[in-house]
Amino acid sequence: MKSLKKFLRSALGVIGALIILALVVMAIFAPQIAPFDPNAQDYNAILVEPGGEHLFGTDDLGRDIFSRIVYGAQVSIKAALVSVGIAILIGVPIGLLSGYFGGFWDEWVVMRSVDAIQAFPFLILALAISAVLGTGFGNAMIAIGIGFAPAFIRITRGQVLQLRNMEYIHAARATGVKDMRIIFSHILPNALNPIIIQSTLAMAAGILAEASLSYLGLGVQPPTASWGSMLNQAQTLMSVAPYATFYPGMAIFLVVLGFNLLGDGLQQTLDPRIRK
Amino acid sequence: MSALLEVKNLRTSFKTDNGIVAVVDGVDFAINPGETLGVVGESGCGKSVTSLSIMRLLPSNARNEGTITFQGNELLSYSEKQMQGVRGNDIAMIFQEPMTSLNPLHTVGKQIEEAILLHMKVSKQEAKQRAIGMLKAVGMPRAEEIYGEHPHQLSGGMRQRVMIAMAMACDPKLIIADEPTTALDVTIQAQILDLMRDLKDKTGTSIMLITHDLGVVAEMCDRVIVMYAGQVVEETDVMTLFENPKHPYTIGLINSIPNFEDEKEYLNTIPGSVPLPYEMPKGCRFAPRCTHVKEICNQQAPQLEEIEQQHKCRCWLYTEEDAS
Repeated sequence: MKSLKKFLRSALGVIGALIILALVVMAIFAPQIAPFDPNAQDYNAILVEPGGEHLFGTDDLGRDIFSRIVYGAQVSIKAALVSVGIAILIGVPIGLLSGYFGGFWDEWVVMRSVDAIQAFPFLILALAISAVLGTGFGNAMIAIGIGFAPAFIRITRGQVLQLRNMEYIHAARATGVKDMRIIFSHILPNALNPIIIQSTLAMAAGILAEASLSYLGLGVQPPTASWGSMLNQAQTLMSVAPYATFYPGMAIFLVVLGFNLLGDGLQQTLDPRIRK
Repeated sequence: MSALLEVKNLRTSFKTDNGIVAVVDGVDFAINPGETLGVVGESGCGKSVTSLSIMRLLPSNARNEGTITFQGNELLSYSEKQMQGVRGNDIAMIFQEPMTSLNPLHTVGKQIEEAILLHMKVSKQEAKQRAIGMLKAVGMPRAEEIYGEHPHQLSGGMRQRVMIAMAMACDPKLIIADEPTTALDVTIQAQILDLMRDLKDKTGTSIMLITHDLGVVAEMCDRVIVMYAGQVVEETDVMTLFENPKHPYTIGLINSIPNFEDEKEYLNTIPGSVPLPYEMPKGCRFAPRCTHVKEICNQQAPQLEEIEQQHKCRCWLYTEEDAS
């Protein structure tokens, strides 16, 4: 409760939370909000300018851009949750075990692999993995998740290194508690705060990465609306219909900003080093 | 009477950047059933490492040699799994820092219950009853409420009571208490010591009490070993220790207790500090700080010998005759 009150006092964090809330509402109630079928092509209304019946105008196939952005929110939410979920599922257990047991595996296998993965620019890595796995939303999510996992390994391991020398962990061991139980019941809950903060920040990057991969044609496949693929298709129309790139771009910008603000707000509330 | 715990020639060494360093070097002692053994010495003399060796809780760069026999079983040959059955069940530990020895996210009750559920074949309900019973036994008011509270809601003294409740939960034969009262206020210290003594009298458990506070030793212990630089330098019963200390280090420790009767401007101290484990003197380890140092002290290490009945000491002052 105290944390919640504190969070509500950080104005930017609240703005971020509101943007994310709007995104979630938009995704859930997409069929009710969207005035048109996002994939319906209307050859009588090709490249209609924004305003009037088509709020954000239409694209070169006569599809309503506003409706496509509303439905695209579903893809973005899925991208954020699935990619970060995969990263957490891979990163957190590895970080926990590696940090707790230490030794050769930790220092030379896990941490050096993490270094190797993080040495690549993230998008190039995701591109390479999706190229190997093939195109499609699921594979794009796996690629992004693998790309994010090292950050979670690092952050979790760092927490474990700090926590495993706490007296209550010694006390638990001295009570005869088994290693796995110490890791998951005593260390993990105490390590959660920075993982949660990292998750919100990674979700922003996940949406951006999905948009990038879809823009490059490796993510969501047509005709499904995704903000990235909308940008991709609209770029050829830049000179005739600049609004067709403006709205999806704006949507990406706002949501990424929202997640980042939310992450910063959470960090200020949860991080004991900043907490006063 | 056969000893409950017998430590023979224990040598605990760590692999470090300075090579292999023996922090505990040839420690012998025994604890009898129902006895309270005090382990005294200043910081860095190997008291805590000895206790962690017994529990086999040292980090992976540590190595134990010698024997640690508990109820006739050799603990150093136990597997990690077997040790998990000993820890908290046969031998329990109480730590120094009550503020950080409890997991901040689990309720007090859950932490006591954890030990019970691990080692005793009881249902969840019975474990809860036992945990509440333990809280009552350590003198907690409102035991049922405190069962559901988190550590940050309790004071330092109360948390230490919870730690004792956790340690006692499975009726261990031996409790290793590592400076259990150092972090507490003096008045709370006395309460906690009283409580430990009461519980010991009721349950007949043995206590290995690690401390640097001779006042605590006088209050609690039957027998005392004095450690210096990883070795036992004197071992005797508590009365003899205060009336007739033999080792110059023990004498120094006792002289440095503040005394209100004769007012002095300064407290007595022992000059110098414990030598680092990787630069131990060749002869007696206390020689550089000793006021009675003789030629032989710097050349040959003395052995721990029985100089009187039930009184062992590691010093050339008393064993010179044998050497010459």
